Amino acid sequence: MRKFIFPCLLISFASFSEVAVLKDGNISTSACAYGRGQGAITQASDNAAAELGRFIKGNKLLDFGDNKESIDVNLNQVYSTYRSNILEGLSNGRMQLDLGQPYFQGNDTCIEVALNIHHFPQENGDNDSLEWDDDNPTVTVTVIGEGWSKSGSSARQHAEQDALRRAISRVVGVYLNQNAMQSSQNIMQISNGDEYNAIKDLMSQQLSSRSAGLVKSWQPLASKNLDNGGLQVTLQVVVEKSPFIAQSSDFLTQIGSPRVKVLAPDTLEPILKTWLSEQGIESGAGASLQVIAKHKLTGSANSKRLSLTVEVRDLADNLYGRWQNDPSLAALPYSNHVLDDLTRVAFEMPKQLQDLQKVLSKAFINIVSQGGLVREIKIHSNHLEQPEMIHSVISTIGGIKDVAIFTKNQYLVASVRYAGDTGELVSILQNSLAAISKSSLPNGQVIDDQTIIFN
Amino acid sequence: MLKKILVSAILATLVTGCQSTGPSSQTQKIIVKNKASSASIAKNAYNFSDDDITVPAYFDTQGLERCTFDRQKENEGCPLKKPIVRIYFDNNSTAGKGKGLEHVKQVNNLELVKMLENQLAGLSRFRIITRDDQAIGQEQATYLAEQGASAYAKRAAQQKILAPDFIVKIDTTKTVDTFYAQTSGVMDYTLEMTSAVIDPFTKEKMSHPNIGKIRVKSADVVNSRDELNVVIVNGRYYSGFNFSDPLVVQAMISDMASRGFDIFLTRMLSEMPSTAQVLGIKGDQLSLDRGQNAGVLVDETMVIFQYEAGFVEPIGVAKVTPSKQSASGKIVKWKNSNLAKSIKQQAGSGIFRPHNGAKIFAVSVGTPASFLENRT
Repeated sequence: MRKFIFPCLLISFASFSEVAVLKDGNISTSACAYGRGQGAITQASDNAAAELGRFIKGNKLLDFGDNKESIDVNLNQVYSTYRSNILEGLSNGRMQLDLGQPYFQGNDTCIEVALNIHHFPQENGDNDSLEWDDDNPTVTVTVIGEGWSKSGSSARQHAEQDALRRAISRVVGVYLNQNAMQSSQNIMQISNGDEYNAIKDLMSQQLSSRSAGLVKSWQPLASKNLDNGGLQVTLQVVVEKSPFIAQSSDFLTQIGSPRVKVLAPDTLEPILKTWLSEQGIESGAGASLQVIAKHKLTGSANSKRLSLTVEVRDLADNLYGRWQNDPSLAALPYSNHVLDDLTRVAFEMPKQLQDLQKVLSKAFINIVSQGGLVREIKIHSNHLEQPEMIHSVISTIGGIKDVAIFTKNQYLVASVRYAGDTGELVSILQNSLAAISKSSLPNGQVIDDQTIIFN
Repeated sequence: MLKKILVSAILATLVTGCQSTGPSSQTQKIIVKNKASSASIAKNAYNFSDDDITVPAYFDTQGLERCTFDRQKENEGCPLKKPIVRIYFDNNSTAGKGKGLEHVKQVNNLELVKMLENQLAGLSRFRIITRDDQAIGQEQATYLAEQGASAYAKRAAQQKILAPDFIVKIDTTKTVDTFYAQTSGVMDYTLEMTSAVIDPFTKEKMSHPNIGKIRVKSADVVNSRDELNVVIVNGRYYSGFNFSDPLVVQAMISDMASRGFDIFLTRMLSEMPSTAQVLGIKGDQLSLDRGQNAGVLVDETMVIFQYEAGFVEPIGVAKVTPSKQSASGKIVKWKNSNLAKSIKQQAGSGIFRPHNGAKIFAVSVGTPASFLENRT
């Protein structure tokens, strides 16, 4: 039998004279492709892989006899057992190949390629099995939390709170991955990893503070003592989906599709408004956010270039984001319509628009992360019985941040940030301010989205 | 005692006399001539004698190992990476007391720039950014009109204008003189050209390539010197070479600039010869690792030499024909040396490939004769 196998090999080498069997059992060949550079190297290595594939395919009796001095005995089975795997790996490019140093032959680039049979393609395992099942009203996660006792609360309480926060954060991640990411209108096509993480963090942070309403139940699975009196707990947490989805949608609407006022020159305004509406951003006069665009033509008569800037500001003129195009990309000779032409071109450049989209998206996230838009609450001094209390009263209102008080003419003005809408804020203020005002506090009026007045 | 002193004195005189042969002389004085420059081109490989087979200056033995072959992102160490340049002419510097000096001042330098851009681009020594904004602007407007904003934007975003590494600055002085004879005068225009390669950000003028000074006289570009004769009556043009017509003067200066550029190109090709590595020799045939992409020209005369441990040893001279990315050639004459004989013998019985650390290169010796005939 051995005598039969060896001639078999020789015959196969004769028909595939360029394929050689190496001492370690790998097989190698060299192939060439026209051209220079990485493209030619890849092409040559593909050619070589195809040649190796043909060689293996054509040799069903491929065997290496029992020559133990040169070839590992286990390799006898390798080619026959994994033949189909090797062929599949070669055809789909997942088989590991050892590439030699490329060399030139005239106009061709050539390379020696060896098939490494010791490394087979492996499936990539996905450890995170948590899935968002639309039919199930809850989602269950297992998380670990850590905590140390402080200010009257036990280590266990802190550890449990930590675990619940993590549970919400985990569910946010899954929700964003499997649902919201598909909805480009809602969150402006979050393609960038950093941006995704920023949204995830912010959303986790916002929703975790209301975890009580989101977590249906939880049970401890294990606990472990940590150094310095700490405790680590493992919890199985069941999160209710419907309130979670409602709150997530509110949040995503705030950062993804706010209403803006567009301030731009005539040539730019329609094109910018159209583009914003395509991104799910509504534009209108009474908005609390302004998108301000400016343009400028520069360059000589033969090559006019367009500089564009777009800024996101609130009514108090705070800047949340700024984008500038790359004027060097397009130049046209001067004509009556050069401004229109260059503007059209600028709004056709995918990379530039992606940047603009990112800047806007980041700006909207910025607003939320800073605690919402700046509002000015103006209260006529006559209405207040205890004006010195106004700071503490307003500061205690949920959702309000960065309170600053000053007087202007007859008014006491509170500048605050608030994450919700202005109407909601008015009704909350009406109740809170009643405690420190004279009996006749009039109803608050919304002057614009930024200013509320109690006159 | 007196005798001893006398003998010592004689010996000392003799010794001193033997040591002293006068002041050393390594330089000699010559008269600096102000003649018009001439072009020098490569000899045909068939006309090389054995002594001619020596390695020319400025060869470059850098291999292609570090090349990515991506034109836009080529590695700094790759010999195929060419400096990107923009060409400038200085303002009109004019001199002389001849007639029609004001028209010499009006010569449009941008037209000369475009002419040089075109000729220099063909050498493949530099990548040239054109200053022809008019044609480019016109084409971009047409492209936008015909292909639409989306296609235009896509292309504009993909292909950014090249950023120059250097500028090539041509400084010129144009001189006009009029020599008066009994019945007529003779116009004499001179164009002097020097060039500099400047890093625009460090302001450094590079030492290389050193093109020197090129001088072109009007008499070199006319068929007959009589064409430059002019009859002037009462200080005004009457007949002959019309120095008072700006178009005639522009044409004359353009002709002179064109000749100057030819000389410029030949010097550039000698200063920046193309070098390629020899992959193999089979009989008299050569295979080179680069061709048109490294600026190898058609019918290039190249000296083949072995480079080992910093020493060069000529092997022969070849006539080379480039293809896009490689070149092939024929060794027309082998050097009369042991190395050449050994290689010739090995190449005679198969493909000879350089090995054991020795590398074989081919370097061009200058502008091929056919280049001036067919490309200028």
